[in-house]
Amino acid sequence: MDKNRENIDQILIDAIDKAEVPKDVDSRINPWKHQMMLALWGLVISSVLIGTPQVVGIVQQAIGIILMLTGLRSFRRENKCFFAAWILTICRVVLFTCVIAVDASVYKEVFHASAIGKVTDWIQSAVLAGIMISLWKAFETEFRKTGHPAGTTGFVIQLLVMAIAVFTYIFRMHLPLALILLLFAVVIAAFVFILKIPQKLENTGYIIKTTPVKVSNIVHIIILSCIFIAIVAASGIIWSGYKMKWDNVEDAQISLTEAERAELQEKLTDLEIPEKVVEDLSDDDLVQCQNAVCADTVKDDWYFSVARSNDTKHMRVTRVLIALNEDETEWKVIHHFCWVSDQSFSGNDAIRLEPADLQPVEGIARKGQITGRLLYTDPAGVVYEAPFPILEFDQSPQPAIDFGSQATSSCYTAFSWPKQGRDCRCYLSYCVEIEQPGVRIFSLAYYIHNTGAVRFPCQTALDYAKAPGFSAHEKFEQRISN
Amino acid sequence: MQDQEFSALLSGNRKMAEERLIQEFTPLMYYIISGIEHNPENREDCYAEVCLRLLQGIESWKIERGSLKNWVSAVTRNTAISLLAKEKKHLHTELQDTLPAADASPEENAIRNDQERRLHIAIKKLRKADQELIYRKYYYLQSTEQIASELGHSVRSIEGRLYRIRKKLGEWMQDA
Repeated sequence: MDKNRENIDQILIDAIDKAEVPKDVDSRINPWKHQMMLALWGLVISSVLIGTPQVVGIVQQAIGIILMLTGLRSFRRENKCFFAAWILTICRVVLFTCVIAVDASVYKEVFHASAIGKVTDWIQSAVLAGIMISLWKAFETEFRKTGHPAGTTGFVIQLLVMAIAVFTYIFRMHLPLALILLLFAVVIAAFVFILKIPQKLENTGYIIKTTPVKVSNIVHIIILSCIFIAIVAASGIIWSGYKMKWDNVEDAQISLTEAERAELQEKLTDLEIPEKVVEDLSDDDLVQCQNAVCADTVKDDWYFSVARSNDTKHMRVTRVLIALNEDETEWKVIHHFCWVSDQSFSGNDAIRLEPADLQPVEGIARKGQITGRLLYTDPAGVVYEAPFPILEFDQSPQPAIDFGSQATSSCYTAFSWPKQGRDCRCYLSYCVEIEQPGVRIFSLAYYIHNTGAVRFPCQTALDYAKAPGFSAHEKFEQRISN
Repeated sequence: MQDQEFSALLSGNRKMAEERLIQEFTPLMYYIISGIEHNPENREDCYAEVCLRLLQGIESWKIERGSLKNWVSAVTRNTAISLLAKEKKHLHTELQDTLPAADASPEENAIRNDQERRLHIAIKKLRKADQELIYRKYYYLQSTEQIASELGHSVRSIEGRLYRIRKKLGEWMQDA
């Protein structure tokens, strides 16, 4: 074996004894700066998120939080404030994990709009402020030990900016763009000050003792990253669709007897309403039509693309107007959607309904609630029905192209089809009263179908339905019925 | 404290310069000493000796020769090692292997000088991170546990890196 290799240790000791450590290498030999810079860069990366697209922003925040936790674990025993910062960072990791799990599910928008979602946002901001305060006080404590003035102005500035942001949010103030840009510049400058703190502390000659770690930085980062990815994947798989309350249709139809139902259905089919539509109506909807006089039916065939395939999915759409009295002043509007193709479904679909009473046509008033249900047939031939899990009114999005509809608010519904259901169909219906016969009843329904696979953050068909403009999106397709 | 600032202070007010030197670099001295001298009782004696040597040699430091921090580090390290060598002459520990070899014959000196020259060239070829490891381990005599703790690595990871660095240095020295 070569003599050099055998004696390499002794040669190293002898040679280095006479060496002068290069300045740039010597500056790296510091017991704590490496870990502290990891923590502070993590703070900067996870805090400065203005203007980043959603996925990039979430990834940026994840990277920052992981770096913070990896760095701060080395200082948890130095003083109480570092320990507090470390604990709060763990809290931040837990909160962030919960939020990204929700963001991967269909409940993202509902959560963020709810009181719990808003409280979570406030708690996250409070935790971040707590971390900044803890680090500020921790460094102040260290500088106090050196007898030098604390160079922690950066933290004070950041906390002031956060306070301004909270103030403007609470009082719904609108700051001019110039002021926003100025505040952004101040935030960046403050973070530059913060990143210089370790060098200032090192210049005083102070040494912070680090706590030994059992797991190296790179392994710690990989473990945390895998945890985040696993939670997002699990949430996306488990909660990519809405929880539907499917029930056997025989058990649900309890208002009418068999004979009464059959009689009403026959009456409606005599009015040339498609049998498929009539069979799907609930007992309550049938009862509303017991005095039906005439009906107007419009049918259409829609085709939706299938992801990663040249196939298409075929949907038969029927719009029915039923006159409920002799005067023809009361009408029932039905929008019926029926999947003709038997293909698997994923994710969620949505319908946006612009009912006639909300159109810019005078003399129309809605009577009662908007009703409807979903139905499908399982492989054994049993028919199941379920109510819409979401059926709500909200503001209509601003159209990029005017299709003649200017409804101020719309009815939204969102749902998920069973993955292997056959003969999937649904309908929405409502009753209107018109002042005089001859008024045009104009009712629009948009069906938004999820053609793609799960994505992160989860964008639901409902999000798409509420989005302003007529934006093309490769994962959703929209059709309009009137 | 900047080097220029200290140099100016040394020219104007030596006593104040000495006080500032000791005040500013005491933590650094303790940091270096604690890596070499593991007995807490002996560290104070070592620190006192280092302070004495720094104050005695303060006039010899010139800004053109190198940074103040480098000079303080070198004096601290060399003082700690020489004190350790005096105390641990007969101890059969790992530390004995980390001390410079005893005097040798002219031929052996020539061989050693050549090896050291080749080793210095090889060390300069290493990445900065690897050079840092080498200087921490063999110049500042830090334990693997201390290095691992300060760099946020596990002990095994540091041992593995040191092994690979030594192997690389050996190959480069042979090629030089």
